[in-house]
Amino acid sequence: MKFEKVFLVFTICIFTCSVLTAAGLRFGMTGAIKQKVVELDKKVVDKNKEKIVAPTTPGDGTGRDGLGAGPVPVVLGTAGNYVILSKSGISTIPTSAITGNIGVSPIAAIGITGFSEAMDVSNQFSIATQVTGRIYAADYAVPTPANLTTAVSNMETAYTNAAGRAADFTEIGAGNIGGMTLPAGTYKWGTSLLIPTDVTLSGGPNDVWIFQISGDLTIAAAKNVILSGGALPKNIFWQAFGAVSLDTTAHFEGVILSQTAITLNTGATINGRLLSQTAVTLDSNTVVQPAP
Amino acid sequence: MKTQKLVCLFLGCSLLFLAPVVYGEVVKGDIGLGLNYPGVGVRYFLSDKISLELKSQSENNIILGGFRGYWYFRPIKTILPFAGVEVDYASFKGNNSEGTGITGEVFAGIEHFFVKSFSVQLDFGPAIVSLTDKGSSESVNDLEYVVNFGINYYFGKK
Repeated sequence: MKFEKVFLVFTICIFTCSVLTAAGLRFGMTGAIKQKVVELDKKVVDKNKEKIVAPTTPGDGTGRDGLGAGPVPVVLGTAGNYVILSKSGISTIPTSAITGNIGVSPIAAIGITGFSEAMDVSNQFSIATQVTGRIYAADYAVPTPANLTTAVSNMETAYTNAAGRAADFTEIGAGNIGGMTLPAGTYKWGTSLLIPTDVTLSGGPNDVWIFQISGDLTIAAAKNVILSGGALPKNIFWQAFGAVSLDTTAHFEGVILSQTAITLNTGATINGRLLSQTAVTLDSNTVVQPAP
Repeated sequence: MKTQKLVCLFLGCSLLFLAPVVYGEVVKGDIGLGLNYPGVGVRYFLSDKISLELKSQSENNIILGGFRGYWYFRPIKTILPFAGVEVDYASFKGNNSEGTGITGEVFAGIEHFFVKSFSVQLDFGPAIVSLTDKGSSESVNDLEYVVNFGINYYFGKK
């Protein structure tokens, strides 16, 4: 009898809570706060949009070939011959789909794992089913080692060049650009940069974006960098001093120049390049080099 | 929707005064431990009619801590009608915002005792929620209607 009474009272309480919440009441004070956080999120995004669309004078240059907006592009040199270039290794959990050449240097071919590559008869490169292109390592036959040394040097120069550009915008969104639409320009953060919701880069095919990030670069799971108005991934440069992480099934656009590691979690995809001064870690990803 | 909320609030408050009168279970000095969705609280009875509760809740990157003051009305059998106020300090992290805020609520409800040491309570009322994003200084200040459900255990009762 006592148990039946307890059960009845609980049922009545749960039913009452359900009816009241259905009527628009929030369940618990945290429920009320949760609703207000959603509204505040929207206000923050709207405010950031206002900030971004303010007139600006893009930094040195007027985009690619002087035909667009934003800075002149970062020169990749022979690093631009690789869709993935790493100094300490490239690993993949199959099956990834990579379009373009990949290379490691100064580490030898032992730094390439998970590709099941097969050496070409020339001993200058290897191939693998996961790579639509060639695989290069520092211990392959000449001229591969010298070519890789030059490419890595060019990658480091490109990183330094990107980091040194004069910024048009600083600390936009306090390190959180989720939901924003960004025009061409050079953006700088003294912190890490987070992309928790989709971000749009809006501009023409000759417009250029450079993102200078003092900390880590992270895009959340299943979120996207979206290009609109004809913007091209070859004109987008993400220079990160810290680690770069593309979370599960996220989609990214642009050339990543990282001082440290680049990690793509399961199913993440990118149209661009992964140029890392340490390691690149893949997990069933799609990496496509930008059209020239 | 606003009319629905007000009707629910009115009906809930009416329940407090329609139930038959018999007996209540708490006295000065009682200490109770409560589980309320989604958190916990500790309650102390300053007198037979007044108690103070220290509470904390956590949900979806929201952490909240605060006080509730209860005023108990005439007992109705094993049911204690009450009204009170709540003040909280909260920290939160949303998709695009992060910061702190304060909340204040005026509530009314009932507490039902199964045995002398164990009860459930249900209350609701209007709450002011004020949050500020620390990055942009954007803020929201608005009224919400909140329903709370909790289970209480009182120490030293047999």
